[in-house]
Amino acid sequence: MANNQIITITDLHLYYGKVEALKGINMSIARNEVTSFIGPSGCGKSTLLRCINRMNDLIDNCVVQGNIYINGIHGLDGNIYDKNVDINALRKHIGMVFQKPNVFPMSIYDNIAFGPRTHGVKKRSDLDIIVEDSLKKAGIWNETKDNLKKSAVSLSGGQQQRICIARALAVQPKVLLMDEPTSALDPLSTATIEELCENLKEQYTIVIVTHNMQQATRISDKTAFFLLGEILEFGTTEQVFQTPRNIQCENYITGRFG
Amino acid sequence: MTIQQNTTSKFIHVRERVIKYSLFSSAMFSVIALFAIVVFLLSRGIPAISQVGLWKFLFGTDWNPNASTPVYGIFPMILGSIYVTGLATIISLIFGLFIAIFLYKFCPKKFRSTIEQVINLLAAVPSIVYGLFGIMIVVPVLREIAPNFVGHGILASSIILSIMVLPTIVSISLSALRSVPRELYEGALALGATREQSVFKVIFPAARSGVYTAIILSIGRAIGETMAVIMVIGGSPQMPTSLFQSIDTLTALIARSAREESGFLVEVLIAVGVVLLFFALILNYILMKIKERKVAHNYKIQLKKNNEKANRSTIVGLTKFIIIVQEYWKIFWQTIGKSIKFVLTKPIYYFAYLLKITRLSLLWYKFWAWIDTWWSVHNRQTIKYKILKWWTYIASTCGVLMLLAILYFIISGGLPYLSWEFIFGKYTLDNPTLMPAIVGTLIVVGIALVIAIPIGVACAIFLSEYARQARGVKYLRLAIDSLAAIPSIVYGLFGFIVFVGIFGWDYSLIAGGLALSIMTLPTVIRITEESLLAVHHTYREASRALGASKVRTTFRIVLPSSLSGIGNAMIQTIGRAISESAVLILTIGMVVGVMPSNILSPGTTLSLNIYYFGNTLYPDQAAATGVVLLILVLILNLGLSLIVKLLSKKQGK
Ligand SMILES: Nc1ncnc2c1ncn2[C@@H]1O[C@H](COP(=O)(O)OP(=O)(O)OP(=O)(O)O)[C@@H](O)[C@H]1O
Ligand SMILES: [Mg+2]
Repeated sequence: MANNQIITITDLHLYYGKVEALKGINMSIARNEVTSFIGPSGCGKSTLLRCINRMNDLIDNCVVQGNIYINGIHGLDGNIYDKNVDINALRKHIGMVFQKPNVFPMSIYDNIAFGPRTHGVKKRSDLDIIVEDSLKKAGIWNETKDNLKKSAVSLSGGQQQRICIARALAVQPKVLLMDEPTSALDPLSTATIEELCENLKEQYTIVIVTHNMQQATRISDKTAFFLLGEILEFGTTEQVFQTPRNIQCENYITGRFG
Repeated sequence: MTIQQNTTSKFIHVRERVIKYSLFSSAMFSVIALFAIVVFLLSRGIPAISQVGLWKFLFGTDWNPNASTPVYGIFPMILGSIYVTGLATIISLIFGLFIAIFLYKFCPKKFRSTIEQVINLLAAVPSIVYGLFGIMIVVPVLREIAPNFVGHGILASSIILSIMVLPTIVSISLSALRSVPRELYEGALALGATREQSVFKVIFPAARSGVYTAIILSIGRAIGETMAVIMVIGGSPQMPTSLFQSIDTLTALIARSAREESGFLVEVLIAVGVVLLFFALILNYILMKIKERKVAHNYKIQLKKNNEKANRSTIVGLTKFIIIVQEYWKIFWQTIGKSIKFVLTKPIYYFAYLLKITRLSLLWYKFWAWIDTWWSVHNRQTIKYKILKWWTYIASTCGVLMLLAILYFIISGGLPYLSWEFIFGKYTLDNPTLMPAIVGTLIVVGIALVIAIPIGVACAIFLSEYARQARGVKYLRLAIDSLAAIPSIVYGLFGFIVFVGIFGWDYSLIAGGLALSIMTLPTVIRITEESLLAVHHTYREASRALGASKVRTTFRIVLPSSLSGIGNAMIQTIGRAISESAVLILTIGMVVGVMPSNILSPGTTLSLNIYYFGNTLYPDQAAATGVVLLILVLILNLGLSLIVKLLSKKQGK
């Protein structure tokens, strides 16, 4: 196992009831890189993403077989599907941003501070620093610094999504999972968030699901192509988009799919 | 660092489990309560029934517990309950369904919310106030009309009950109508149907299962209603032969006699409670079956039927339903009914009477079918629907007027006697006051709240956050639904047996408060759970994805988002507790003149006072108490909308 692989997935199968949604996934995700998942709708991208921080545990009839190893996160190294893994600590280190912005119905400040408070940060001055820092990283500090007490629900969709990113950053994760974070946003907000990914790469490992080919080429270092619960192609973004080895992947990328 | 993390995570782990199990045990409370009610009622009722003899008990036509050889036949009361319930439901349907349709389509937008609020207000009026309205207005008016100068009886009770169940029918039918896909309506319009035709032919039939639910619920409500009925039914255990005749129902019989009697009669009354419980659970079962029918399946069938019945009117459809009931009735008559014939000579007359009614309905059907063909021949279909449409206007006006009438008569009757002295003065025989009742109400409502809210909210949290699909949850829900279906007088009997009797507390405020808290539990659970389920799941996901534990997510994110629902549950509980009287009449003793000194003293509440004053020499005081009660209920309702508004504003929605 090379040392720069932060996540290694081996032979992962996932079932929703009797339906096999992931059919033996093997892949490694490199530290401080952006990895994008592409593929047609319903092929299991979100499902795999949600395995990485065990969000699938919340779904009642979901069964997972296989292993996901973490390498180089303090206190978590090993298989996340082991019995005595502290799931909450896992999710603290592997943050997630969802397709639709889902800010809590409370103030902007409380939204960002919710995570740190969860993990035991109580002092107001510490929280202030974390909130400001996270909002800055998410590129929304200037728009919000004057009204942190305002309800987050009243912000625009693009702003809300950046609040969600800031909220995820506030717990200081090592990995950030993003499931189509820009699909509900206008081009301008999308560009802001893409830029953000570029900057965040320095400190975080990012895995992003996207339906937008240009987005994948613009921001990601590695790309994985999914079809029907399997990864058919995985390599550097350049390679996958310019010289795809898999014919279905080529068809999909060039828009001749189906 | 690592060690510290381990201990905190261990602590969180333990906390999670502790909280989960305490939520679970709160949830189990409803199961235990249901179990206890059934067990205690059966253990006292069954021996009594077997001593009297099941047949003689259920189908005996004589009720005379004071004779030298007492006879306990409750058939007159069973018939009384059935007649009153049936008639009330029919009256209420004739108005309620059309009010719902009116609100759904024909009502001008600016009136809609007002009328809806008026209907909701009808639901908030305490049943005892309806009873008061009954003896003040309905009975005297009917006395004028009646051929035999008797105002009490089936008609009076049915009228009162039909007003009471009206809100149930309207609100449930309305939500059923609103859940019919819009495409259906638009599709009908696109085919060239008029607005009225689309509503009556397409939308209304598609909402049918909701209407059935409404019917069953209002039957349940009507059959279990005690205090409104007890005031206008008359109270003689005679076989009902006329609309104007003093008779009795099961609930009224229990409420009237259980307090005053002792010895074997009490056991028999508990047995009557068993019969009521039985009715309630059967109705609940039917309700469950209706709900269980899969929505998609239902929808498909309805579409098909709509096509088949394209030429038939809704009224004919409803009449069809009556005819089906008649078919069942015939089968019943040929099998069981015939054998009853040998045992009972008298009641045949009433069965024949029932048959006559059903035959009338057949005639009605033929009449409408005739009109139907006549109109289709003349191609004037639209006129019929215009008439139906006008009926929706008339029905709605009647509904609103009814509420105004109730408010007017109670207030005009009671206001002159309302004074500071009457409310807060010291109680004497010549000058009865409300002070003991106010104290009693506060204590009883307080006890009910303190018990029902924490347990109910915990149970709702368990249901919505921890047990969405677990296996046993089906039974938990069944228990909660059954609790909701049990008539309040049965809760009264339960409190009477267990708290008053077995616990030896005698008639006391605590006994009433406990019985009341069990009774209001299902309401608390339902309303809270609804509001928890309304919290979007993405909030939960977001919180969990940040590493927040389930408990933290539940208590910090989900619960605050649903605070307005919990506020709603609280106010509704207070409202029910204030209005309730059937439970309390058997548990707190209706001691009107003495100030309660602690929770073990007997006492009274405002609603019980209305019954007491209305039945004794203080009719004016009854009306004045009614005014006080109405004002309280109005304030509560205002408070409710205020709370909801405030909380949703705070959340920035
Ligand atoms: N909660 C669930 N229960 C049952 N089946 C599910 C559930 N969630 C997803 N599936 C199924 O699993 C498969 C993969 O779903 P997934 O959401 O991972 O697809 P996706 O690649 O993210 O698609 P999209 O691009 O549309 O988001 C689909 O066939 C879907 O129907
Ligand atoms: Mg997806």
